[in-house]
Amino acid sequence: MTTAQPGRMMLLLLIVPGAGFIFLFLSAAIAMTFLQSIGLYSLVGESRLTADYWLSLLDKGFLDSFLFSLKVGVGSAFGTLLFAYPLALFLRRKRFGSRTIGSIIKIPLFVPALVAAFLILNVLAFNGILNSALMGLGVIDRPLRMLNDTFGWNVLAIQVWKNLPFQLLIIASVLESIQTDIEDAARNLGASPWRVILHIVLPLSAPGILIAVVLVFILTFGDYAITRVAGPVYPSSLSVLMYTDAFTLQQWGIAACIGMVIIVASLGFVAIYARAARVIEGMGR
Amino acid sequence: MSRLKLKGLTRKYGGFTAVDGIDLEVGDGEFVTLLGPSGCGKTTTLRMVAGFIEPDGGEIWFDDRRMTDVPPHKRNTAMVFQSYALFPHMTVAQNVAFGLKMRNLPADEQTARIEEALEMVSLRGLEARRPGQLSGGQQQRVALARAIVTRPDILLFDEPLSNLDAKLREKVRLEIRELQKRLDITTLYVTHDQAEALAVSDRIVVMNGGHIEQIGDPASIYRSPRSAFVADFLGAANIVEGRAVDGGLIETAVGRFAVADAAAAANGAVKLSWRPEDMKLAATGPANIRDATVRSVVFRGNFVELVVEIGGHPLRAQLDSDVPVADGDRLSFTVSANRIRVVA
Amino acid sequence: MTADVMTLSVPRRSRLSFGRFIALLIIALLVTWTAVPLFMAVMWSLVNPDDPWSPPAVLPPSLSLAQWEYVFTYSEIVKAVTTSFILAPIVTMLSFVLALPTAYAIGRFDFRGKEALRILILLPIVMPAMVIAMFLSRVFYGMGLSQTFLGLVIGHTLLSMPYMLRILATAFEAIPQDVIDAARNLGAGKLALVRHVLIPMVLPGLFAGAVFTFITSLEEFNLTFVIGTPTFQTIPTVLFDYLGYHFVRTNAAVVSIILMVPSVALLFIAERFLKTEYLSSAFGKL
Repeated sequence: MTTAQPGRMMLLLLIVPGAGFIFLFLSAAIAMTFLQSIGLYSLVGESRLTADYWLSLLDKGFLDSFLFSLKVGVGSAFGTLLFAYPLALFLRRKRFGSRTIGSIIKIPLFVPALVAAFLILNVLAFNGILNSALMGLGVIDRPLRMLNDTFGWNVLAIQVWKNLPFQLLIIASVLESIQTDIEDAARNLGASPWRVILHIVLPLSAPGILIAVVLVFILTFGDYAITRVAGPVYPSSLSVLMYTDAFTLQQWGIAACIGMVIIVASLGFVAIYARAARVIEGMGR
Repeated sequence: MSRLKLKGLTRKYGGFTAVDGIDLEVGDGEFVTLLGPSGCGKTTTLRMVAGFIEPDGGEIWFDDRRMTDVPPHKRNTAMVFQSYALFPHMTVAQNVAFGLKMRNLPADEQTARIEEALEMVSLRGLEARRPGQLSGGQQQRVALARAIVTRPDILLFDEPLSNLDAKLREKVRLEIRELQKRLDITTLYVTHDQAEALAVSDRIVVMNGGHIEQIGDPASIYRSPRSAFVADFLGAANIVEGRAVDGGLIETAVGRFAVADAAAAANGAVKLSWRPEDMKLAATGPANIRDATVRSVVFRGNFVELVVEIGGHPLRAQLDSDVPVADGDRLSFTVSANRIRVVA
Repeated sequence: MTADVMTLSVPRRSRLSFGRFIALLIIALLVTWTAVPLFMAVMWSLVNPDDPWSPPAVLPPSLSLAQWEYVFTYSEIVKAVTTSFILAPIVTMLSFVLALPTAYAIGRFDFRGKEALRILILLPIVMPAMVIAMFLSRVFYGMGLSQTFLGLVIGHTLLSMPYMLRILATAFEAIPQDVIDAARNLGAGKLALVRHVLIPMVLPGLFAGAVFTFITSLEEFNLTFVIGTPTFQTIPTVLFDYLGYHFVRTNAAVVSIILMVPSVALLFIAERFLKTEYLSSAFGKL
């Protein structure tokens, strides 16, 4: 794959436009977050180095939001997996309807977050289709109030709807990399279809599952738009709390601290993702 | 150990018939090879015996048990795959143990059998390694051990030596054969390499286009091919057309021959086949093939391969490498009657 | 045992139909799961204001384009659409120019730190968007870029370029070295190599990258919301308005469709186009 290696200077010149741009603005944003969290660079009031903002995080509001975001992250990631993995297994062998299913399944991937939020809220609404259908079938007498619940089921529903094709694609590609020979060998040696999945497919697709889960977690943990629109009033997700603190309460220092927490958590999980991705690449040999 | 019986086994893919009504019986402990070019249906047949492919017609029997509808994991066969198909996330020991684990054997018996199997393939000491850390030859042995440890009714091989280099191939195929004789397991072996088939089989089934061309032990297949296809597929063959003439001889474009099979000679137009090595240089005396012109000489180490031309027809011959031959020489050959076969 | 007659394995047929049944069931469930929300949105956008739609009615009693008229007359949607569709092409082109050299380097060379570079490029996609948006806006505020079009362009490019980069890098990587060597061997100089080999083989990747970048910019919300509003409105920010403070279902439905249609259309085209073109270019169109 490598041609004659260009000189260091040339290489640098090639990399700077794209990567340099990203590095420049991304690190500026992260740096600003960090600095503001310790009191510097404040554009509202004076700047002084302080740990006050960090200390004030320990109040109940922050912890509740943190737990809520955690719940949404984990719930979305695993909730989606619950549907995505079996579907991926089912779609493995080319059979009648695979292509149709494959195309239909991909649609939520193309739907932006806000629209997805609207679509699902619409369905779950007081006068939405779900209530109408349930009443029509005689399951309930009066429509259920499903929106703005305090647990966050709405948010979970939207995130699962939106992220299903995403996880499906990741897992499907990992499953595809498992050679059919190996599954045949297992069957040949006496493994029933269920045992093949348990002993062969599951372990070999584990890194892929990890990636799928981690990515959805990262995306949903720090989400603003969907939780703002569909989530409960209290507790709000971390991003919403951060936004409110900054723009409504003009507490940019605290907002920066929350921002740092989100960034660090996300970076941590990105590291896990990177490890898992490397394992998968190793397996492809 | 079981006898294998295939009756009218058929498999179609759309309009294409991959396997066309195969009948075959393999005796207890026998080593039978399915031999043929790619696309002849040998692998499809093997996979139907393993249960991976469902036949469209016909039956499969192990002894007197009807196996046709039995799913692969219940058949007690064991297959050695071309790619070895070792489980990459398990150690050698775990790989070999897999079949025993699926049969819920107690742990100590598993260990005993694993050690025994690894001993038989000379891999003791590598139990904790992973497939990625093994050489191709070692991986192949693990695949073999994994297959025999379950004491299957039928042992199946799907071109297991294709990924090994030539020298290793010759060595390993004999080891496989010896192992199989020791264990006395009924074996079905698939390959496209005719030298391999000749070296290891009790019987060879030559397949072409989904049906069986000929079944027989290696010697008879080689010496008495019944069709031009079989003659040409195993070893090289010179095939010429001719007509019977007076005196029980066959007249062809390259010469006049006597054949051992007098009955066939009685028919009008026939096809004759003989091996290049059976064309002997005629020093003096009568020759079947007179004054053929040498067109090419290829040095093959222990012999010299010639292409000679006579009557516009090229023929292949083999001579000792120390016989002086050059392009353009005119040579005459004899082929004895019992070396000529009449083929379809 | 006298099985002299050829018997057809009957069970095979019945096994097939059971599998079919399950497949059909899953398709039905998926269609419901995917299409119903979309369908409902379309319905809500077509509700006749004079004929309200309430349960247990499954469909609105009558349809009209009144909601669409309303949105187009009384909201900022026209300005928003314009802004969105001016921003997106600019961002796409800028992303392409910036991404091309880097993608080439990543796709064709090995060097230390390449792995770290790949992660850096991935970060804008996975990092929590609102945090980046908020604090980048602070940076922009300090630079005087807040509420400016340039600020929006930079922000959008930051978030969209990674897609272009990753796809282009993959496209470059997929060019077999043999093809380049063969071209060189047959006498192609640097320029000819670029014109006749590199660009054609990378073209499908380019197209896909452009589509993804374009759509990411169209759909971008967090950054535009923080940096751009209220001076600039894009389609997502208008939608957010209708979903937040003034939740008017019908208006939200209309704007949702406006936002969705270009995305879905473009992505479907890209998906088809990508497979075939890519395959043909891989098969040695020298």
